[in-house]
Amino acid sequence: MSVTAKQRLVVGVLVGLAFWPIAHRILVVQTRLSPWRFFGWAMYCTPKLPVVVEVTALRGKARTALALSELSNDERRAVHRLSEKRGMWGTYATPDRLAQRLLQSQHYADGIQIGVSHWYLDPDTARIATQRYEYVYRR
Amino acid sequence: MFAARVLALTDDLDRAAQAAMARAFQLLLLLHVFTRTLLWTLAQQASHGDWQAGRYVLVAALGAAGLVTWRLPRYARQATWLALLVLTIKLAASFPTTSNHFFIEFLCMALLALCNIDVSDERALLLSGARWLTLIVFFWSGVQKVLYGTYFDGAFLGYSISTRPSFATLFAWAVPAQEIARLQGLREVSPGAGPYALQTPLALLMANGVYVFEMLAPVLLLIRRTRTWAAVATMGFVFCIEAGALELMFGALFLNLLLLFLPRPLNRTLLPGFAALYAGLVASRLGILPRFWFN
Repeated sequence: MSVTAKQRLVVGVLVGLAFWPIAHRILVVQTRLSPWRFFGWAMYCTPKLPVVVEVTALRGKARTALALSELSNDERRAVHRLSEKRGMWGTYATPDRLAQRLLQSQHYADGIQIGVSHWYLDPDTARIATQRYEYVYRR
Repeated sequence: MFAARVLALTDDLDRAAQAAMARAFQLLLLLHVFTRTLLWTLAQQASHGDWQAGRYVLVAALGAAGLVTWRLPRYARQATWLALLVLTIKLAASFPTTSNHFFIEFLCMALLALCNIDVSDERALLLSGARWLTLIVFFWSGVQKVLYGTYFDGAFLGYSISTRPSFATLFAWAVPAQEIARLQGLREVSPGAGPYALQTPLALLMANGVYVFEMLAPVLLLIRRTRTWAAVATMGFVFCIEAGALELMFGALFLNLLLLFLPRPLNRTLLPGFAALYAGLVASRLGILPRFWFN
């Protein structure tokens, strides 16, 4: 490879790197992708805070919150995994698989509602705030 | 033409020092990735991580690449390609949790593998490319802080003081004890917790100074007339920040990159110092020296 070709390659990569953080920021805003990852150079911009997953069984108009202790070990692990994946991938990590698993085990329920709360440091109030997403799965 | 012009902006007017600088950079980077992979492997061993034998193979490959580069420089490029292969495996294995720090290592290693440092123009390309990478990372670190808006009232710093004792110790001289006590009293992190905003003018000045400096320094590093002093100031800045965050590996890597902006190959002079630092960190992780948390 000639020096000129190598120069073009290096500058091409550098140009990509110079513009990627803009796309990264848009993805973080729209999907809650992790600001600390994916090479957007947004480390130490906002704290790494938990993503809380809550499960509710739906039966008719009744709604029963399911505590983690009421779930099987596998289901608890699945909840934990979703929380971790969500902290990384934001809304790209959907709770579909967890919901399918819960629909199988919670026979009495017509449906399952999964609430996902992303905690973040709100720059307007300087307090911890949450953004909540609700997913409803019916049989 | 465009590529050459862009690269010329971070090239040296006098290329006399580039051979020594590039060679020192090559050795430092290999030493760095070897140390980091070893620390990663030791940490995984402590937490009974899987694929431990595979991790040691990666460490051995990086160690061999470093040794070959040091003792048999004519095989340095092959060694660098081996190191790049190892880092590619690490990248694939760690994604998506790959740290941004690792990505800088990976790109620097790719630059080293691409450029033959025995050829003047390719050596210049290596150094210019590494300098541009440094500028981009530093500039965007500042811009992102503005976009997230957590530095204007010092909320991120306040949160860090509240939850990380090392930050509270580091900023004890700038933030009154009363405010530190208030922030540490908020340690239970939950929705509604706060406010983490700082009240002290000096602390607010510092919080806002961080992103201003991160956006301004790359411009000053780009201008030849101000480059040397900007590099020295940026090294001081990075040293303070990373010492507080105890991000010692990232700090060492970034200092290495900033040394490339100096007109003389100071990185070669400091090579034994960096080797001692890395040895010390490994010794600490192994329990030979007193253990302490660092990243």
